[in-house]
Amino acid sequence: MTDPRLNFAGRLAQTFITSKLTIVFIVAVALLGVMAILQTPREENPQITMPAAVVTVTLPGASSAEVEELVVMPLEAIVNEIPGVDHVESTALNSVGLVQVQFKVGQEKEASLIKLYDRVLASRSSLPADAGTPAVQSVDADDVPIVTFTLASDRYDDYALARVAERMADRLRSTENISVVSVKGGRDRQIAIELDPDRLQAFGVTLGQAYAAFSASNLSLPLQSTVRDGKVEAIKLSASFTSADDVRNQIIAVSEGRPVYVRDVATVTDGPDAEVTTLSRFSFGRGDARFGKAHSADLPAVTIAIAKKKGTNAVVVANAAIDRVERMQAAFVPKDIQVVVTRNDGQKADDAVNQLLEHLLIALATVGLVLVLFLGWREATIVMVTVPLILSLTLLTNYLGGVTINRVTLYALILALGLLVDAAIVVIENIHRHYRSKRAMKNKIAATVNATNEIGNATNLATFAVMLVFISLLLALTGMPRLYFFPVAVTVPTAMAASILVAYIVVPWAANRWLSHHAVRDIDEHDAAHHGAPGRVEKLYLRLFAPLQQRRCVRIGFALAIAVLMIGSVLQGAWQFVRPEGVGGAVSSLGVPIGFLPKDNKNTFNIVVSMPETTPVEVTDGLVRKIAVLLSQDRNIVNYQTWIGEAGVADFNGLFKGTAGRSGSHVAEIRVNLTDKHARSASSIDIVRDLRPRIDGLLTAYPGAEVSLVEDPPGPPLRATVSAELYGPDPEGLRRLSGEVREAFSATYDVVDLTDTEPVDVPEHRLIPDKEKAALSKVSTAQVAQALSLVYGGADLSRAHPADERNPVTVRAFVPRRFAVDPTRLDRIFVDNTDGKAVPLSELVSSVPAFADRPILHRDNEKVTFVGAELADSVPLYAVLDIKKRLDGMTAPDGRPLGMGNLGFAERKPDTIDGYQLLWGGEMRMTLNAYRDLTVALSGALLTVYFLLVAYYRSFLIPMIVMSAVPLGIIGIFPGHWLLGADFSATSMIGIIALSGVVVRNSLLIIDFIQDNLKQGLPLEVAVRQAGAVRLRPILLTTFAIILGSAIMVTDPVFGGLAISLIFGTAVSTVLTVFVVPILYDLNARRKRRPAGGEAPECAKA
Amino acid sequence: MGRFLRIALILAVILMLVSTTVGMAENTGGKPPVYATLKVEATSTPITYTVAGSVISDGRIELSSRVVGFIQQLDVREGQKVARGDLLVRIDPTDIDQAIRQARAGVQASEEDLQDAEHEVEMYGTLVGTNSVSKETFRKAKVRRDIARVTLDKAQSALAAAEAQKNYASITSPVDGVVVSVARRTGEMATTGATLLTVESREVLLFKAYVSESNLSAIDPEKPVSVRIDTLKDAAFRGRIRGIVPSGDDVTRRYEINVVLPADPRLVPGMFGRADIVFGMRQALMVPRAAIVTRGGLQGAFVLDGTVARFRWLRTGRTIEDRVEVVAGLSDGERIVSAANDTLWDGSEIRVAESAR
Repeated sequence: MTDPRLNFAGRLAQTFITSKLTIVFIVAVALLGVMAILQTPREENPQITMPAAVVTVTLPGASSAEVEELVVMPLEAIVNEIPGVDHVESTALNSVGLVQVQFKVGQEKEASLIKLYDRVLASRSSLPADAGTPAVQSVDADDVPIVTFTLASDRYDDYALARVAERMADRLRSTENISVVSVKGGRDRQIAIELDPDRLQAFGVTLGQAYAAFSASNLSLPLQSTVRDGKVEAIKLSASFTSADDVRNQIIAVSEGRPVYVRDVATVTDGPDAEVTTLSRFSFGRGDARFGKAHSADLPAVTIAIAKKKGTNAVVVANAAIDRVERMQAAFVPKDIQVVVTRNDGQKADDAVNQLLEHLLIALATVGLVLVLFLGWREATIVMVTVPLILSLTLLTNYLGGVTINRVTLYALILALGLLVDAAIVVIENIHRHYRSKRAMKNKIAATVNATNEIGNATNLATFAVMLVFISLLLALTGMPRLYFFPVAVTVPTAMAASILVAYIVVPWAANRWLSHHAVRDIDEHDAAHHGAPGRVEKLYLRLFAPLQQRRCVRIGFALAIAVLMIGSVLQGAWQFVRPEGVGGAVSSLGVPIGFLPKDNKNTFNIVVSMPETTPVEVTDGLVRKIAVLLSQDRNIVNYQTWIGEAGVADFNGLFKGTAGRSGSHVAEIRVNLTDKHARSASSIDIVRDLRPRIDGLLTAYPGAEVSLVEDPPGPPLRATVSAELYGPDPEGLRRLSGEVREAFSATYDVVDLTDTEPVDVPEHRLIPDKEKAALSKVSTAQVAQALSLVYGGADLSRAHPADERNPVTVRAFVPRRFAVDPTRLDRIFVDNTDGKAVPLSELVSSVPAFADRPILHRDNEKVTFVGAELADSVPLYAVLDIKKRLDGMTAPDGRPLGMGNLGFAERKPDTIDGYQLLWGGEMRMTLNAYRDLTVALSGALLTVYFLLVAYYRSFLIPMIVMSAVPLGIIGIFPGHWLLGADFSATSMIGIIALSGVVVRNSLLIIDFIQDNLKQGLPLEVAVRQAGAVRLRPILLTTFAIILGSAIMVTDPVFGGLAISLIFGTAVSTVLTVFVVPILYDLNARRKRRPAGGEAPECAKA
Repeated sequence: MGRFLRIALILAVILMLVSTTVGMAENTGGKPPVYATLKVEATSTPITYTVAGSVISDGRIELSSRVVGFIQQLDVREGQKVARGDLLVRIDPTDIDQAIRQARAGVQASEEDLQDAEHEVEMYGTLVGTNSVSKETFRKAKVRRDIARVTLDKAQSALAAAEAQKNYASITSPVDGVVVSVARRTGEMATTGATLLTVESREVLLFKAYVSESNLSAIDPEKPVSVRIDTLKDAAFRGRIRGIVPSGDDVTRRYEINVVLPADPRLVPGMFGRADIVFGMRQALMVPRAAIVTRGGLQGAFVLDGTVARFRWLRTGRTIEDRVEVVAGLSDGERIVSAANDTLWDGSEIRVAESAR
């Protein structure tokens, strides 16, 4: 039965046209599709694997400069030996060196970590002997919690809440696919020994004696068992502290024959740490019904954070956790503890996915409507049936290939929707055409197969061109954008391939069953303009086309008009760079800003507070409370949780920005949750924009405080939007340079949330023991150190063993704040010498005022300091160019001009051989990388399509005519963005790439038809005109399908650009293509026929 | 007419009652509570050097007997308060009495002898005029009379000495104080110089402490020193440096310092205390202890923001008397609630007491 003449399309059609397998195929594909939808993990954004790890090495007592030389630099050298390492960022602090290793995006996590472990541990010998063992800790995006529950109450304090939270966390750990469950916030139980230095002195007890007594009297150990009365009996020494009373009644010294108890010289308490250094509070905002119900707006809070295992479905995990928590609430959580879900990435992913599925259906319905109008009910139905099958196949492939269902995948599907109906439309249309002929009635099956076979090659070619274009993305993109856009590059080609397959298998089968000759007739009557007789649109087309074909001056005018429009469009994007008032400042009224990805309307944002390093936690708290007052006035805020003294629960963005792990008295964070975005009119961008100046107003009372309002980026997260990396040989010089660059930043339009990595100088009391004096007084330096450690910070002496306690309870001795010892006068602290006499520390130690060691930062083996900023409303490109202009010609601290780099397409590594250097990083760098890659992808795609067409047409010129449709699309793109008030973004660029695939297909069909007409013997003039007119409808149909299919995407901040590029580009390109391509073909053909002759002077006649 | 008036009166009373209750309801329900507030100001606060030490007594008297003899009476016990002049110990006086009697007899004999000698001189004087006796005899009689006079003098002083011995046999308290130790009991032998009992004077109490060498030069002995006694709830006593013992320990590098304490019945020697020696002054924010409250496990105060009280977490430092130093969290010129109670919460609307304005 197989006809050797049949091509791939024909053969598929023939095999399946009557086969029972077709039904099996349809049912199987549909079922598998449903399975794929249910089984594929859902996420909001694609997973970006970017393995990173921190190597920590301690070198006790070493200054940061020493740590830099002895620990950090050898480690960097070791790490640099590892292949696949992208960047190395190190921090040398006093006594500690941290080296953060950033592997290239997409590297296997486990393998990378093993390589790192291996190298670091093997190279232990290159570190100083007294350095600690390197600790490697992975910075894992998988461990970022997806669900957080906050426990808050106005009846219980954070200590009680933490105990409840611990119990809840225990019950959550067994939930399937949950990885890390952690409780953040809340103070731990401890037995605190608050030493009173004066009483110690009065009783003649020194700190050293106290220390020794505590650690020597808390012992328990199993001993060798004994045999008594024929039985083995165990023996255990039991002398542990089991309660605060045990500690209280401990004798620490015997003074003048009298025992001195702990209670005589210290206050012993059992409970939470009284000297708070970190805390968290939770408040309901006006958007919640519970606002104002409690005594106080601020409730003590403790948070349970839950992360999921890699590759599992966030939605399922989140729901399972929430279910458990709800059951626990009913079972044992006290009623006056509020348990609030403060983060639910599962919900977020589910909402995003469901919304997009809804959008997909809307798009499908719109496309269906277009099809019904153009093709008629039956054909439209057949085409629409193919769509779910194609989507099912695509999702199945994604599932098998490990691509999750996320926003990007779904946008890719919506994008593909406009394209994938095309193959089916072409097939059904050709079958339709064949059915009209009388011959078809004799052998319907053969006619169907024949019809499919006929258009097979052209369809394959067109589809293949589109696939190629998207695959080029896969090849050209690098770094984080590659992982982010990976689903687009995979899903669209897959959908295209599936669309051909389904078009060749299902459409002929369905046409054969349901499309009768009769029906075709009916439709033809109804829709007379289908073929042959020209309809109203065709008439209009022909009327417009005629003068173009006949008059040269009209053509020239037309060409000029196109040229002007094109220049105008490009200028909209480029004006900002060339305009006389410079690149800084607001965007001109007709301009279109060029950015990377615009901001999104989210349900949450983060306020990151960073005070000068010398700020006590109470002052940080004061500012946070003032900000909280502002937050409590906003109706759009559901709740907010403040973290003081430490960063909040880590999120993906914070991890990349480096704000996630911060701690210290100068650090705070406020996580603000807004009402659902569908339920409020103001977008999160507006809310943040309104809030920012009001917070800035508070900062006048807090000089040096930096408050950033961080919105989750729509795309991949970055350290800062605008980031200047300053490299140089000398830390002091870098510091000065950092100040100057910061100055330039702050003078730039729209720059907000300025940050830098230069800490303020922290005054330090350097305690220097006089070794000679100490020796004469018979006191060792170690004793001095031990006493000082008890006075400043206290010491964890041992662990108590209270009954019924699940957490370790430390016994901690310290000098409380009310007895604070002035470090400049240590006369109240005594150590006992070998004669047993008490010697005041003030006689052995002198205090020298100094400044604390400043951390030294390295990036890629060079000393670095960062200046970063966010932009409220504009794009980084302009800001960077503006700042660059300001900094140009600046002299670096070494007197040489400051080198500047990383503004080109190639990324540069730092190099300070020629002095100080400024490299631009942040979103700017990623924008450039992405545009570079996308430009490569576009040129690669165009070149491949060109070669494909050359092979197809066996001509060099005709493919050029075909591809002339691509630049025509540019005319629509920038005005389209301007009309909708959108930025030109990276996805707009992807839109251009997609656009080139689509419009090439249009012109390809026109040229195919012209050549067909020519073959049938029509004269060139008529053939050209006719082809344009006949193909007008199918082209319009495809264009409408694409425009309406993608229209739903326009509102999305990320993929809006893609949709705008595609819609406006396709629309303009299509309208122009139907004129330009036939004319160019005409001109080309005429030029060939009359190689010597010029054009007839038609213009003169006119 | 009378009935009408009565009804009107009753009505008026009812109306008054209603209106007052309504008025009261408005007063208690609607308006926010009143709190006294105060403006935080940096005040000059002493920089103190605190040394721990003990109260000691300056007057510690060890009583011993001058005479040897059995202790006839010793009734006082340790801890007993005694006043100046109270009889403490009596030594058996028998020996002394005998000596007195003997001396008295001696005096009598001498007196008799003197009388006889004087009589002789008188007699010989008249006879010498008539030359019945020789001048030589008269001269000798005068010598005998002078000798007898001296002998009487001698005997009289011996009697006085014997009588004085009797005083030493009963020991009275030389000061107002407390008996702190009793070494002998009644019936025991009191020997010369051996301590019988110790009495401590309550008149002058000292505070003894050790200062380190490095702070020695900074101490101005003219400035008063405040001494806080722990057991007396940190009650402060103003003292004056009496002296610094100018000889230090060469190992511990400490010098003894004595502070004279004011007389106060609560002070007892041996009490543990801390002396705050003022080195200088500095500006510090001090707030009353009552203003510091605990909310959510945090210590802080309520800061006035318009009419709203906002809780502010504060870092408190050392306590000086009833005021607490605020190390961080408050700034000069802010107004805080000077005494908050448990009904005051963050964000509560309050009214400021008029007097505080």
